[in-house]
Amino acid sequence: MSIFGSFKTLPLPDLLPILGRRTGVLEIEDLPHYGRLHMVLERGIVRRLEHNSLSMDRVQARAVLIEMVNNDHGSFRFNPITDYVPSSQDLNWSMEKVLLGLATQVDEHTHAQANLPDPDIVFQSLNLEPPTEEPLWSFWQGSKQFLQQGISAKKLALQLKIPESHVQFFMYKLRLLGRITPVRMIATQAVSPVKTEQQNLASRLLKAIFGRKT
Amino acid sequence: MKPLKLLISGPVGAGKTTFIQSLSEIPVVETDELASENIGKTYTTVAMDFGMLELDGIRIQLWGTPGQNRYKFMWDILAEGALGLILLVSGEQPQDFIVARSMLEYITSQHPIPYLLGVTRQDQPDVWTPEDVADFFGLPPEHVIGINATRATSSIQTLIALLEQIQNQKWRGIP
Repeated sequence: MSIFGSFKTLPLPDLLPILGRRTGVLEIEDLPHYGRLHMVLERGIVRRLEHNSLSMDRVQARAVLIEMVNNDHGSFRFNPITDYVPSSQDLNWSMEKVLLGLATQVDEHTHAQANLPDPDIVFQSLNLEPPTEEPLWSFWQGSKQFLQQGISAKKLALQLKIPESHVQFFMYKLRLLGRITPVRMIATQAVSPVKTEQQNLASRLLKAIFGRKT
Repeated sequence: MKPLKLLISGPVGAGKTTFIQSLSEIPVVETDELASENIGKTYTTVAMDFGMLELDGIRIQLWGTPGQNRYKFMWDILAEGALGLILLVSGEQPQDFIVARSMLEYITSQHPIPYLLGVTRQDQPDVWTPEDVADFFGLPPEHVIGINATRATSSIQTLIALLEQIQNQKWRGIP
């Protein structure tokens, strides 16, 4: 007897509760962006997610779960196990909290969709005080080194190996919290011969305008 | 000397064409077409407007570009080496602010271009003030100017404000 099916007919939020009393590995296939994944579950706890035999970090794991909720692509099969070997990189997420968190994030993301920043806009951190709540806290930990220098959602998504739309969403939230601001390239330029030339040119044009007006 | 480029952009109905017409010394080349949806006016600019101004023998090309994201490729081409960007937004249309802000942030974070935000329709009674729009856009007040199209000098005052930005100080007269 196996638990198997596709997310099209049995979405993840409906599947997880029935797996809550079991220990085993949920094999997931044909996911957009990720292909094949393994989710290790132990009686109501999501221990870890593995992609290409590597454990995913908290930001990546959350992005995968959101993708699984948002898309009806992919199929699954649950294989019970008796021995679970803990690892220091385990997520140890309560399934109940995962379900609630996913529902909240999907709702927020849908609501903010039209206001998400363009993926090419470069943002920079204003201060390094971390946000207090998940999932922003984990996102901040993974991205602060890049945000200190200034980075776009497009490039940050490549660094963090998560979909661009997730990074756009987190940047939108960080901006609302006053943690990041768009970079103005003109303001980052030091005094240079080009800048001096531009200033002289502006003076010349102003002189011409005021000469014309009088 | 090579002509300078001045980029004028903003959402539909912000007043880009009017602004260019009031500065240009040549008949403005327009690409207006019948609007395919209800945008509050019959004709709208589909690709660009082009005008020209000459000051002290220097030609300044005035390029008006639409504010929709699908024109990003044009913004990049025109912003390269441009004298500056004047982004216009109607103070009567707060529904356009997020799109306009995104456009401004895209261009100014990709190109070292001096910029000014012009808030048009300041002659109307129910309108966002430049100070409030600056707050929404997260800009210092000196980067935002109110524009009243009913005043003939409004466009030239906006150009002066941009040049003062580049010069990094207010015009103090001829020494």
